[in-house]
Amino acid sequence: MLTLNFEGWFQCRLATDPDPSDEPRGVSGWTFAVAGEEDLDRIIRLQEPISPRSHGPEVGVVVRTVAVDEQRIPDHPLVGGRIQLLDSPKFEGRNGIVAEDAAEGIDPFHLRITAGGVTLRRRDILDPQHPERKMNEVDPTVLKRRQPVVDDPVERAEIAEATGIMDYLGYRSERKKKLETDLQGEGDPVLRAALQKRIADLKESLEKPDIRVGILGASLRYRFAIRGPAEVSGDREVLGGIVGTSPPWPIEFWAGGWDADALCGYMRGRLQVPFRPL
Amino acid sequence: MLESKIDTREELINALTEAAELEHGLLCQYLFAALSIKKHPTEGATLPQLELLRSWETHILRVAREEMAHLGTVTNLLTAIGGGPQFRRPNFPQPSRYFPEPAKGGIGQVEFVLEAFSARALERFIRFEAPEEELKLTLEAIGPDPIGYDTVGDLYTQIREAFETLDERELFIGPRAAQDTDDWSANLKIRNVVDRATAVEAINDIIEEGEAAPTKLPTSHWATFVRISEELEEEVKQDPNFDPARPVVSNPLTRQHRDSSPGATIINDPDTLEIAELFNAVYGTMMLMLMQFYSFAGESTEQREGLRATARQMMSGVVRPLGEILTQLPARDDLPGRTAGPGFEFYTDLRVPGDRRNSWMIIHERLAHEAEGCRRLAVKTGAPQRLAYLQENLEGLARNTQRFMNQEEL
Repeated sequence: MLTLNFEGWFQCRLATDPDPSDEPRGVSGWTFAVAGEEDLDRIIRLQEPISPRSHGPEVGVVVRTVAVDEQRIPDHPLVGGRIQLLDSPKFEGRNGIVAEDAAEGIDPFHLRITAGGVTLRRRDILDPQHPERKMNEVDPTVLKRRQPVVDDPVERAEIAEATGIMDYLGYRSERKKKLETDLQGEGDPVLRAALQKRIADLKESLEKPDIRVGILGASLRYRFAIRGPAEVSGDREVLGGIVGTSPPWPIEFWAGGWDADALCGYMRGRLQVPFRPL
Repeated sequence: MLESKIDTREELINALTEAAELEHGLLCQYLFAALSIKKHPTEGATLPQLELLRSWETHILRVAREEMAHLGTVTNLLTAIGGGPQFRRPNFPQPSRYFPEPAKGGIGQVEFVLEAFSARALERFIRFEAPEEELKLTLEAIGPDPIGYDTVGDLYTQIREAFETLDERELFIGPRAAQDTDDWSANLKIRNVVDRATAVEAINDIIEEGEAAPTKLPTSHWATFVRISEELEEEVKQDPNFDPARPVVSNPLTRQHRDSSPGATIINDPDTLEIAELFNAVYGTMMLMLMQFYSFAGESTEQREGLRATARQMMSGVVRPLGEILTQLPARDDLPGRTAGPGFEFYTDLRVPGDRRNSWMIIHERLAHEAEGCRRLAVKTGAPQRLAYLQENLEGLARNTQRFMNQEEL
């Protein structure tokens, strides 16, 4: 078995309740696009963020370690590989219409890992009886498989260790100070308006700590097996073995440590791929 | 002339019914103004101005949500004393139905109209929520006294006085199970009313949230509108060409109603008209859900939770975005450049069937029908892109209510 451990920051520019989930700018919720930024689009980006916020985390979810049959291989060609979710994946909740808060699945789930001439790609099929159906179209019993697991919460200590955010208020307070410094030297009225909005939001949440603070320690844990058609290239040449494409690929990961100012979250997980060395 | 007093159950129910109608009418006007505010640089506002506009929309939508909570609390007050929920209100515009008698030195009648965000609209909003000065004087008669009030706070002050003076043991006859105590969304609490103390507390909250001075409660509705009005005045001074709202017509309706007054703009763009009718249909369905929720005909806890959640999801998932879409669509061929908006129209007097199963069936049927209508509109050439997403939301809501309907069949 080939085991890939991955982690890193991702971006998700989504509107939050009570805004409609397709709200483009963010008006009533606790997330928003600021002056000069593109509209909110809900897309989960593991690489190449759009309109990245200043002083936010650097986005990029990558393979940290690789093991074959539980034997760690430090110089494995997939180490450092880029993890991507393709086809504009989103957390599907729609303010409770599809799933309640903290019960949102990611849809579509189309994983691609690329590194050193190797590509592993697989899309999960939500409902094998109706493979074309999206998360908002399936029966709740079918949906459940891709929703966060409820009986195995991630320890906040692990999230803090992964993100490096040990003091939620201090983290946001530090961000506010940096933005205030930027504002003092900023002459462009658009950038000033953007900074002022972010500063005001941080200030409000520091004066009366709410979800924007607490969510730095929150997470959703997912656990399922990717069972759609797989595409593998470079396995024989680079990996020196054959990747199994018929059996599902078990994946487990959590997404959390939400930085509401930067519109980013942290992802950490493990993918297991059937593998037979040549 | 004797001092007016609400001194019977009938008069108190009448006053609370008026309060419910007022809150409902106010929140529609606030929503309309908020949804008319410009959002994109292509609409003729600078990026820094758009930040200012966003903050105004945020505050007005918050006030509208609090009015929804007030409507819930007023419904609790009504049911606590044996009255029924009141979600009916006449169609817009209503130039003289409310604030019927100007108080001594008062400003006088204030129109209930759907109009774009503007200094004039804010002036009306400030007037609605202004701190009350004095109680009204009206005649005492055998029939229920007519309701006289000068501000929203004035009406609530009279209602509070009635709750303080009427016999508590006789007054609270409503079933406690019918009370709505749920936290609907975003920390909006609806007050539970079971006796005099909780009734007075609920009314005090409504009054304070509405008219408190900025120094006491900067987020009160009155203080919020005063602040926005000052900021708007300042921005216009800086940029005399600044226009904060989309060019929406006033009172955009799909047809003339028997209970609305002259002053409506009848939409005649065929595509917009269909979307406006869809808006009114989904708004009506949401009202039906609220009526069923507050009527309490023995629904299970899960069904009540389902009604509450579905009504909330309708608001954020369909009604608000559809209303916003309308503010960007042409209203009439003889008003080029002018756009429509949500008319919040009732085509008929909505009623909840006595039979629970029928209630669920009607809600489910309406949602399925509205989803199909939305699908048909979404595939038209040039249709707003958001419609396809709203169609999916409506389909999801229809599926969700099917579950509750099926529970009735078991």
